[in-house]
Amino acid sequence: MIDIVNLNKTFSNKVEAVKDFSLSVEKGEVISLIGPSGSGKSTVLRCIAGLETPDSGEILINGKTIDFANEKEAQKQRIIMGFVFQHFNLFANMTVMQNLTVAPVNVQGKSEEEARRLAMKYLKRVGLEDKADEFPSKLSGGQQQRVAIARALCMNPEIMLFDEPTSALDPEMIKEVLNVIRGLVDDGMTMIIVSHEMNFAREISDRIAFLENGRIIETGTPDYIFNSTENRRVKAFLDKVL
Amino acid sequence: MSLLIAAIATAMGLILGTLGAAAKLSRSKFLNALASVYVEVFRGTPMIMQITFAFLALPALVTLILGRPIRFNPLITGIAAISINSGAYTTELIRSGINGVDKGQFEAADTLGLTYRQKMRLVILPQAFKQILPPLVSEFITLIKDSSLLSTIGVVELMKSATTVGANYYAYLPPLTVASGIYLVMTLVISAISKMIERRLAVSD
Ligand SMILES: Nc1ncnc2c1ncn2[C@@H]1O[C@H](COP(=O)(O)OP(=O)(O)OP(=O)(O)O)[C@@H](O)[C@H]1O
Ligand SMILES: [Mg+2]
Repeated sequence: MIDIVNLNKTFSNKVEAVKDFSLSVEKGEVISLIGPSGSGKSTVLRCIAGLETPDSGEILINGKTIDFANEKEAQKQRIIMGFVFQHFNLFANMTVMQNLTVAPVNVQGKSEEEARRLAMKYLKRVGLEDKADEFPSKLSGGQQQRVAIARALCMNPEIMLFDEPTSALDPEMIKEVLNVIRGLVDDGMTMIIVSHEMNFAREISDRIAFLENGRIIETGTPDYIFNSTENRRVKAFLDKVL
Repeated sequence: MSLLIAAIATAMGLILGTLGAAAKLSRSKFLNALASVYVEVFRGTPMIMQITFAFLALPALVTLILGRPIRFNPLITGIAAISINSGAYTTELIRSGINGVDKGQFEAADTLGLTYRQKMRLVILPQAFKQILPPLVSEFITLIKDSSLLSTIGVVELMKSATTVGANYYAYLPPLTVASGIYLVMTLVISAISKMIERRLAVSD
């Protein structure tokens, strides 16, 4: 569904965040990106979502190359992606309901009524139907993140990208968010997830890619990565975080 | 009249300021430079100089170009001058308001597929506006007071009326006291209204 070919990204301060990164994601596949801090996980995800422009390389969506130079067209192609941020980024000036309906109405041209119905469906799904008229500032971090996931789902995405969705949360709220993500996995949603929750990555992933200094240095099934890889750096990292 | 002048100038200033801020934040180097020159020139020279310039010097220039004498309407010229001046201040206000909005808000709008205009209109500007409302109101209040400068080019506003009345009756104390009182009432009422709006906007905090 998504093919990433030889992606490179160097920031203006000469930091080479991503080097020759290639990855193919099949429909229904769940892929985790793990690795030490600063290894380029977020930058890869942000390049895929169009929040950063790669210096070279290709991203193909269903076989069609994204033209980075044509921003409008690229954004249209990326409409099949839902993105969930570490810091939720709910629109602060809108209620939960408005957060969920703004894009379906303005981007997809849905009627207000249809968008609201869809929003209620996904709010129920993340267990927050009673919060529809609250402003984000009145919600806990875990609730905000569940709303953010619902907001992405309202656009009916084919693939979900998660950048450390639980890193900004207190421990007792992590579970409620992971449960929502688990539900999506069970429904067969395609996803790429960057996470420091190793046990969760191990449980839900079909494939795990380990990044270091902007490159994938090891990739395989969770069982392979956690139990049989001979790669010393991967082993050292896992020993440290598990 | 003073209130009307200030209201029109603030509204025009808001429009000019939005355009100015858009130019400053755009990727075009030319527009950046143009907006910077605009802001610096009109913030760096006294308002009374700008008003006088527009009323006395500009007609001469236009006369030179058109080849026939022309006289500007003092009221329209004055409002235009104040508006353009206010636009320069508002440009900086709006720009800093937009820069004050969290980067994540822009990015979330991008990933949801909102166009640049939708992102600005629905997400960024409402949040920026909330932040700049207090300084915008103080700009409005400044303009009410500055509208008195138009008396120098013969516009009959509050200040001018007061001095005219004073001259007619050979007594300046009563009319000037009354006029000062009116300025004060106008600015106090506006302050109170803005506090009310701020409280209503605070629901999303
Ligand atoms: N906007 C930016 N400007 C300059 N350098 C950046 C920028 N964003 C990231 N970097 C640098 O690029 C490298 C990769 O960063 P990235 O955020 O992708 O790592 P990460 O794997 O997501 O780390 P973490 O686990 O801490 O989130 C780091 O060295 C980082 O400092
Ligand atoms: Mg990161």
